[in-house]
Amino acid sequence: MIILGIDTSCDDTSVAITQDFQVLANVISSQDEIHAAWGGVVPNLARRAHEQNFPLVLQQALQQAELTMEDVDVIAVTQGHGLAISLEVGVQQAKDLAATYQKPLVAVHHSEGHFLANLAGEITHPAPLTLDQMEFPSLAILVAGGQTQFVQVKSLGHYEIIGETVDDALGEAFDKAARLLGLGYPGGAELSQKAQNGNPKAYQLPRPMRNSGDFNVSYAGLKTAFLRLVVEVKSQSTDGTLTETQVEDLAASFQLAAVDTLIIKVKKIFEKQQFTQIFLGGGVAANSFLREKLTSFAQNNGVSFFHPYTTQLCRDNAAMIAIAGFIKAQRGEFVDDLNKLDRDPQLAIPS
Amino acid sequence: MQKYISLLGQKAIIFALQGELGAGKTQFVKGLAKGLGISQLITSPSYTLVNEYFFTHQDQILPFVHIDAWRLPSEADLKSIGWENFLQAKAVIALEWPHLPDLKTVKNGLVIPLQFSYEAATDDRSITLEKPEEKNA
Repeated sequence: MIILGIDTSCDDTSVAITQDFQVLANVISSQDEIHAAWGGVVPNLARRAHEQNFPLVLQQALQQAELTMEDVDVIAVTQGHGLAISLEVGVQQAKDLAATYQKPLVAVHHSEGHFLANLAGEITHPAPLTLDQMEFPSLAILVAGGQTQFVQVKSLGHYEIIGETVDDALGEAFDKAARLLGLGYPGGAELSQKAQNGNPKAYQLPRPMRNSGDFNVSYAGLKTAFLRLVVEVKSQSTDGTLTETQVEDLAASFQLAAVDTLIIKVKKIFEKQQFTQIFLGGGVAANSFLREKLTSFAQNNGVSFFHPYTTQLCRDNAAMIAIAGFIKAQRGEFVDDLNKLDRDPQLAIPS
Repeated sequence: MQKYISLLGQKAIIFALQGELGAGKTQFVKGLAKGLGISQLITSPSYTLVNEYFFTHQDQILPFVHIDAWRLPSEADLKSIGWENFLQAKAVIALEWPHLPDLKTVKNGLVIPLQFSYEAATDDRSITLEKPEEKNA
């Protein structure tokens, strides 16, 4: 089955073509350049950029896949969760394409896409695992700019959030910590790079909510503690600025605290319930330090740990939406009435 | 906050929150939501820019809107996230905003500016209430 996937949930305009679980094209046109000037997403710009980017991104995806719209069997689009003004563009484009080319449409939850990105592969690179190899229930850990969730996957299409952030998301915490260090937008990835050269034990930071008795995490408190630390370190220097070594040590200490906070809760989850598989998804799934920590946890506990095999499949992208759409299409879950489909920024993950 | 309860459902009430990262704005918004009887988890709107919740007041269902607008360069950008709809719906709005708002678009509402500050040396936090400004249609 040939699926055309569309995702415009936040900064990126993305269109992908997949054949079953194989990615033929996954084009992502990032708006980071536009937003960097403002230090973040600006919705008016986001909408305009999505509208301008969409036809080009679609054309490029079809060219890369060497297909035309006529070859597409199903269209899949992100309905939510995300930024309303951005989601709107993708949903409208998907509806227009479905009507024009008489194709069935599937609406997908963004988080389900992040989890199912683990099933995506290419001709040159097999997927981390196949659908048949998935075991249920399993644990999905979704870490992105807007979400940090522990999700129990009861079966495909049936999810339960068993823990989540009570304030800021992990990706957001990385980006905000990066801002406090004077790095660019979105600085999370840059912070991780700096952290590679730093000493993670150089500074002490808290592990918020470690004994909260639930599986929730909090990053607002860590951000505040980090702010306090950065101010203190700056005040001790003669010119009020940070040296490169200090930036690297601060970044490494922050990253350790942030990732540790997550791992502590993974351990608590496994104390209560054993899963045989862990799936990581979302933009922060590209973070190699987090992957290492989860890999060693998995090895010590006899669990299989999976993450999408490229950064392209971790960050917001349409291939994961196409994969999720493929699975939903096989179950016959199509949009009945195109006119009634609307974006839903607060869409809950299907239970 | 108690003294503004009589205005609930009559006009929009906007808490304009200014302050640095870590000054306690999120905690304030959590408290505000709790006070309105919202039991849902209040999480950061930094990514979605706006989070909308609902509460009941005297048989009226009213929106509680949490906006992180520090990345929106002008008041005009507020429009694109449904600002005018929120005002019309007489919402209670917690607006995290990087500078003192002028809020010219508010025609029928009460703007309550709150300044959050954080003193790193002593780890003290304070909230300063500026003079609330009532804007009439």
